[in-house]
Amino acid sequence: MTATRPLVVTMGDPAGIGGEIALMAWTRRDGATPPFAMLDDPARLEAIARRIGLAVPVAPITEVSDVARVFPRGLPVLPVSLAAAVEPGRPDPRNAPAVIEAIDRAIDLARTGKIAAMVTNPINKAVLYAAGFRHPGHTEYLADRAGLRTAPVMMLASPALRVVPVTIHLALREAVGALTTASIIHCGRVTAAALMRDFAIPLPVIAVAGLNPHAGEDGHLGREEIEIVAPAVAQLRAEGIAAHGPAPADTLFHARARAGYDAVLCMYHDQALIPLKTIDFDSGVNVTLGLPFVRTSPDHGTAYDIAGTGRANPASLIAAIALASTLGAHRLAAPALA
Amino acid sequence: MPPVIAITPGDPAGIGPEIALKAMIDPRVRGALRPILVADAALARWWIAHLALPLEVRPCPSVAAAAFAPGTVDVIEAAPFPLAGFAPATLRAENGRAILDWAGRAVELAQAGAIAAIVAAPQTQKAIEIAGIAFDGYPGFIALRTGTAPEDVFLMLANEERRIAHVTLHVGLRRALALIDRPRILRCLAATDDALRRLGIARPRIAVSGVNPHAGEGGLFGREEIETVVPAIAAAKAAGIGADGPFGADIMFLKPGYDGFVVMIHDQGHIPAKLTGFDRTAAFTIGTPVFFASVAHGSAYDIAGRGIADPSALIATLLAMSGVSGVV
Repeated sequence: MTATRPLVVTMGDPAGIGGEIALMAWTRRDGATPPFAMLDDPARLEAIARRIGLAVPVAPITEVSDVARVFPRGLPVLPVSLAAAVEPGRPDPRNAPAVIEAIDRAIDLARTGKIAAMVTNPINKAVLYAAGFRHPGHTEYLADRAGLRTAPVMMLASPALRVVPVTIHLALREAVGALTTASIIHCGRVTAAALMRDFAIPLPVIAVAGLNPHAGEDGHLGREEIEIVAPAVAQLRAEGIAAHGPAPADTLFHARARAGYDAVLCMYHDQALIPLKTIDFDSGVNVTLGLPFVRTSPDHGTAYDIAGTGRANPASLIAAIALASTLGAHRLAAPALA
Repeated sequence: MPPVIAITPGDPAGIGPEIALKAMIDPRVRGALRPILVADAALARWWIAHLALPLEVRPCPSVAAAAFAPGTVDVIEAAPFPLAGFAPATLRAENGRAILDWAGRAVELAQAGAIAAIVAAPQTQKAIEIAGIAFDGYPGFIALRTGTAPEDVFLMLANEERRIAHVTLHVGLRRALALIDRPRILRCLAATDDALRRLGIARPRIAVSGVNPHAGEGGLFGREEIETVVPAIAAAKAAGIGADGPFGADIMFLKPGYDGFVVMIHDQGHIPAKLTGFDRTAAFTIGTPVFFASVAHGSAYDIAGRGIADPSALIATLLAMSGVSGVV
């Protein structure tokens, strides 16, 4: 019975590509596609479908339990009303409350156990700020609404590789300063728990990259490995987590190396994102670890420059939907955690 | 006339001499260039006998004396090499010393204009270390031997997928961030442009990475792009170099149409270069008057002397340096 819980996909910024990639994801569905509903404005989805020439029956529903029944014939939509007409590529702060409402309703559906997982389309923080949004970003908002006391952790997952950047959107100089033993330990714990529960890997192995070239070469190329990274690895191991490192990042990502671990903790953005995107540019999925529900999102932004043209690539959203379904099913099957 | 390119065998006890000799009798190599071995004639004879190769050694007092005849290996010698006690896969200080004697002799020949380029077979770091010689890689060595300022010399990794030059290399990340400035980026771009032209690309197009995530995203994640990288690219363009960027390093390497990439720090370039394994990668020392490359794989003591070493990385590097191949 649990396996029949559907997914929801949030609207995201309606001026971005979220609507059209969701429509494309529905047209490209096959027998393996998990049923999903949009939290979106049905009229605007119909308009975008017409604009890009997609024949998608948009099917408003009132109950999320209708998703599986409706999905084969049309794209189920749990209606969220927009305040202003949408012009692709032109964000409008008047629609910010609807963007947030879609996220809030997804959280409520997740927390009441009505959905297996949520997939969030990209938002534009600047537009939400203009409408009074007070959180640093999407993930922080979800964490706050979920009552989380510790920071959630971002994983990027593709079929070939899972990476967890310990520092993310910081200038490299600031990332070097922000890296702490505690932050690596936190990421390691959350990653290990998620690999076990959501990815159903009983004994996950986590590789930990060094910060400096050659992982510092015994201190010759920087001391962060000795002072910051190695103590974190030791602590994770003491807790029974199979963490290894610090390892030189440049030899961690070829196919043979990838066979030896389930995820890599990376010390900064490019160290994680270069291998992920260079191996498989389109199929990367953003997974938020540590939330009381499963949340994935496509690994791209609103792409205003191509919104409304039908040129957007839905591959990452399709991968995000598939992964959300898998992770959601694993979590439902897993023994409850405290 | 095809260019004369010197091959140095690297560690005499590793697979270097074997792949050097195999490369010298490869028909593609002989068609594209005139190879000359800078090593020890007795050592070359030892390896030829050991591997039963159909080759004769011809010691040459100078490059002008080389015949480049089929079935012969023209050898230019350096300091005498002690063959007594030599065995494959055995570390010796004498071997470590010889690695750099031969490389140094080849540099002299290049500086004198007698050869067009040098390709080094793999060295063994430990052998150089026990010889008591400070060595942190060929870029520093070539800089020293050519009187080039160390900050003018850069490393470019090249394989079948892409060529990537590094503005900073073997320094800690904090130190790298302090070293990245406009003149240094511009020097690296000029060195990359020059190397790509020597590889036979008439009008190289070069993609340049940022320092920060998403190349700083307009100053949101760091100002190095605005203050340093963008002006360096503008100066390079003004000097006739086809440089574009800065691009986020994560989305840069699949961009089509670029002959080379320039990155700011070691891992930004070494991660993509090693994604598909490392064996077929060449390491070019660029920015010096001498055109120099080494193969990036090791001296493979586990198979040294067994006749099964694969010379393809060395051959690909030689062909690229002769300008006949756009790839490596």
